Amino acid sequence: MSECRICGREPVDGRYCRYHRVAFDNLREKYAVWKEAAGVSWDDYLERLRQNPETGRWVLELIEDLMTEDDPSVTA
Amino acid sequence: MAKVLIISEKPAAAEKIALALDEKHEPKVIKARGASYYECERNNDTLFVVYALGHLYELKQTQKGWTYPRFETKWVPKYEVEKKATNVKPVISLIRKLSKESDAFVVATDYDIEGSLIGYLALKYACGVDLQRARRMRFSTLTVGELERAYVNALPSLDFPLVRAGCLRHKVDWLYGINLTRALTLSIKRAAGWFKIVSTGRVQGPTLALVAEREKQINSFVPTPYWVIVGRVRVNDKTIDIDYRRQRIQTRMEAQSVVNALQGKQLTVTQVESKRRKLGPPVPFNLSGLQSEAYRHFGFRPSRTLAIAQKLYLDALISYPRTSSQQIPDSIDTRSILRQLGEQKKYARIVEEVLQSGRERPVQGKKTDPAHPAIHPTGNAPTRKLTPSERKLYDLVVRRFVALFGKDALRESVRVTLKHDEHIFYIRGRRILERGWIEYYEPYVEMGEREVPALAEGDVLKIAEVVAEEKTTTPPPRYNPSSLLKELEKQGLGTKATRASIVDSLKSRGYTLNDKFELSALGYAAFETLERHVPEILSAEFTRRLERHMEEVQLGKRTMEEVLNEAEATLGRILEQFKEREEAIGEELVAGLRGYWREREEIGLCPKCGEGTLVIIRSPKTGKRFIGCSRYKEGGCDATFPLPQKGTITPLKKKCEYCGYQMIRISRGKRGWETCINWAQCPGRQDQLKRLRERQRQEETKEGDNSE
Repeated sequence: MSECRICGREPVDGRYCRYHRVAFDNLREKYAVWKEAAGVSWDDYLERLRQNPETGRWVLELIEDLMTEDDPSVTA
Repeated sequence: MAKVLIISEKPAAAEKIALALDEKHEPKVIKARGASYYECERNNDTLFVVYALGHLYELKQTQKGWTYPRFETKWVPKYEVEKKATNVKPVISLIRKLSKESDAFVVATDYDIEGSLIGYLALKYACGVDLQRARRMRFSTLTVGELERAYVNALPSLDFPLVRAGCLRHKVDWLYGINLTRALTLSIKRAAGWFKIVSTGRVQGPTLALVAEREKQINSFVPTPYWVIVGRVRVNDKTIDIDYRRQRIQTRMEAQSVVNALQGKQLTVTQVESKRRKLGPPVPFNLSGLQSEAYRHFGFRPSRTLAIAQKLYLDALISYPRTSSQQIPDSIDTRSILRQLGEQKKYARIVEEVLQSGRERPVQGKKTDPAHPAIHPTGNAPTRKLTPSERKLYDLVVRRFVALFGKDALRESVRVTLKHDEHIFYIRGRRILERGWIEYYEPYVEMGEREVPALAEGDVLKIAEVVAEEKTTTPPPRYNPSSLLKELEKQGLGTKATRASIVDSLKSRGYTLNDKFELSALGYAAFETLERHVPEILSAEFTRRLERHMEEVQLGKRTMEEVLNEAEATLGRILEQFKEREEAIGEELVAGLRGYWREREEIGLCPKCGEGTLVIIRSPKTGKRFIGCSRYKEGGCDATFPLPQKGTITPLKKKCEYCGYQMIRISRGKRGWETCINWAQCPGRQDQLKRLRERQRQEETKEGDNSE
């Protein structure tokens, strides 16, 4: 892919640009914390982040992108 | 009998100097064409006090062409580079005319880099005199006594190290500002054919990088959960909050187990500790301290605080504000200043108290400045009605000064420890036992007193409520004008005189969207493009090193030529790299600009068709603006909303609480208000609308009456 799926910037991993890639890495890393702390599923986790006003803009964009996939949990 | 020409920095300063130096304190005002000066008599000498209007001379490139690189410059009258600066011409002519009649020359501009340069350039280019003959007045307040002393004890020569430092700083800033801005602007022209000025500079680049780095942290932030145990106990019919010893619990299961273990249980008081601590007065204000305190209490941007402080200085109410010093030297007669302040009814009580029972000498801070003391009042009372903002800042400076002489305050902190098995809670409280300096600085100090009920070891309290509240972590805060200024100071970027305007420039140049320093699409594009192609422009280390070298010129450790050659060589290399990639840079900036304009024009999803985007449109017929759907032209949607015709519109990321439509902010000058795009129909805004129409009717009637 020649463009980030979300913003059109140059991708660093064939899928996302460097900003959305950082957001993606954070999202994956922090899921372990949420799972341990609150026992949430991946879908529940994404939904809770969507509702949280502190979630970063790139993370929200990423979540929207993941949710449009047939099976967003695959990426987790 | 000699004739002496005294050059001051501004008209208001000239008036103060003339009043102080004339023997009878009644100088003659002589009006010339488009300018004026003061004539004073002193010890059989005639003194001509003239003023500059800030800088009378500016740098101008000597090679022709709006291109880059351009390194050769010369000093020319300001009106040659700024068409609007027509008022400078008569001032220069007057100084030139009077210099021919004068035998001696004194520079009485502000004693700092800029002031020294203003005086030097006026002497060199307007007067054309031997610069070694001029003397230099050095003062920190515009009071009669200090100005008289500064004249009598004037330094025998100009402060050449300051002049050289000023000259160098102007040249370096000109080289970087002009060349980099042209490089960015011309790259856009090459890519898209537009002429849109996009600027950067020596300090602006690293400042943009600071804001962008923070923005990246915020945008990629993922909050994580934690739990807080919130408990309450009843003591003598009052409900008291208690703090669980562990402030954060990482899992819900553990938090719930704490709650289960404590529900309906009793806590035993195991310890009552109290500590007393002396709190010394705050230190004297330097400029950044004053800017930070004024932002905290009044919401003034740093640039506003500096502008107000400058006015108070020109009114001889406070000392020179562009200072790094937090010290008031013994040479300043602080007792006399206090006594004078005590003559103002508002401060009479606190001054009387501090003179009777306060310290002899003020407390001092650590930072110093060789040129000026910390900001302090002169003791003079205002001779005109101050504006509300001036009154606030003056009061802050006066109260801080009085507080410096106050005794230490004494604070008692109490901590009661409550226990049930392994679970520990605290009740914390504090109170002021001796007010000391707080009494004088009262409106500007928050001690957060909290009462603790009388409890003794062994007392048993029943838990009235205990719950585990789920919370999530928050991202680092965005900068505000005050915190960004502090960060620049911490990183050694810019100077005390320039930081406030650098902070403002990020917004005025479109790099940030609002006062919360949220980066715009243009800001991102500029940051990313520069980071990729010419990272040195964003490097704090590079700017800091240059700043250090410039300071070394002032201290005589390096020559001006040495630093200038180095700066030119580095800039030449950067510009070469830039030119090679000009087209690519231009394309990236054009994409950023398009995004920026979209950000400013796009309101949000169209509520009528649900497909188009609401955008701000200007009618080609009437020139009036309104909000319409992007699908209007193709005939897909006719949704429109009226807009006020004046003021800047900023789309907000929230919906109206009454009708659910998108919210916008309208800013006009210092005023700003929020409303929804549906304001004309919104059920929650009809009262507002009625008031607005009533006001408009009244204004129209008034205008009608006046025209008759």
